[in-house]
Amino acid sequence: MQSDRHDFWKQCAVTVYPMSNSVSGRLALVFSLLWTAPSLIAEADYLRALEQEAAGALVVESPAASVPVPSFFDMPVGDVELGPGLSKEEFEARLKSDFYGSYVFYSRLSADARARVYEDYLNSPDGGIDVVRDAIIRHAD
Amino acid sequence: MFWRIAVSLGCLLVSTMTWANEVKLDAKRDSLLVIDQGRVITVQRIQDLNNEITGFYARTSRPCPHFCIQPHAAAPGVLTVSEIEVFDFMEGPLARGEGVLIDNRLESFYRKGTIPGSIHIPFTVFEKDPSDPELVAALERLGAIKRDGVSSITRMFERIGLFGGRYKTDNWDFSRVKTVLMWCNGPWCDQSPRGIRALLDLGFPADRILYYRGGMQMWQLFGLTTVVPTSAEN
Repeated sequence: MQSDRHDFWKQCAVTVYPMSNSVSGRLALVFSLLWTAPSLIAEADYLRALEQEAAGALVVESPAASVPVPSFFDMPVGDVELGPGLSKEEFEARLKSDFYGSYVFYSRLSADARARVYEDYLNSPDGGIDVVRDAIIRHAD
Repeated sequence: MFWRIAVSLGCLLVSTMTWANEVKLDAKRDSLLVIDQGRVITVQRIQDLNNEITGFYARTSRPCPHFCIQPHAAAPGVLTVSEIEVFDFMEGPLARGEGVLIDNRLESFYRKGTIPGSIHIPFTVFEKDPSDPELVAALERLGAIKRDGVSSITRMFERIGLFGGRYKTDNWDFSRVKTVLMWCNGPWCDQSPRGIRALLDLGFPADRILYYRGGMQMWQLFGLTTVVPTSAEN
């Protein structure tokens, strides 16, 4: 179908355009435009509809992608630290992605206990994971 | 004291062994590994038993004709597959370099998340003029070989099935192409069916094309791993 359209335009260029000074040539040009215009408009309309849909789509990276890397191959290598000053959402996301074991226990704490763990993390100058682990243990008791 | 030991043991276990998933991929697989843009990604399902789909892929209704429900088969001779066959494909042909997983959607969809291991070739590329450099590059990426100056006698023999003619056209030799598994947004999306039909029009063999009709819609429904591409080109 696509190649048919291309063939058609080639045909237009080769035959119709040189005849455009004549009445029959102009008529052929008009008819050819009328014939192809609907499909071209429909195609443009379709692509526009797709783009509109895509604009409404949210990023769909799943938690499973960035997190449950519990497989040996996906574990972060080298010294990984939380770093200070993360928002609560960022803190939990980092914990989940880089310190899954700690996250498992953190996620089982009550909401109050989790808030206290986060507070302890915020109060620590370097935002180290050791502080968080200790906080999890303390607030779990 | 209990918690101290438990946390330490938990961290140790997580870092040294594979986590057993409660929500498995299928009866035999917890998860699988796939290479995506140079990274090893674990494909698995979200383990939260209360997780629900929200947002874009939770929508039930979109206007047709643009977003009509697609038939089961994209084209004659093209096999339609489900998630299990996609997993098998990832662990088989894709891992061995004999297959290509293709996200056929427009870039604006692709950039918001894709199935791990996919490369991005929008359906519009396959619909370009056969001599378009972008289309030529895409076909070569799939293993097709451009042909020039094939004699009419050779073509005559090829047309009757000799000299591997089944996989050859005037312009392309598809005899060594990889198996492609094409997908888009799901059963309401015709981007991959259009891409498939365009490939067939070019002479790409139907028996080397697989169609994952479920697409991103079903991938999301099952809580399967998705990734956001790190670059526009994959």
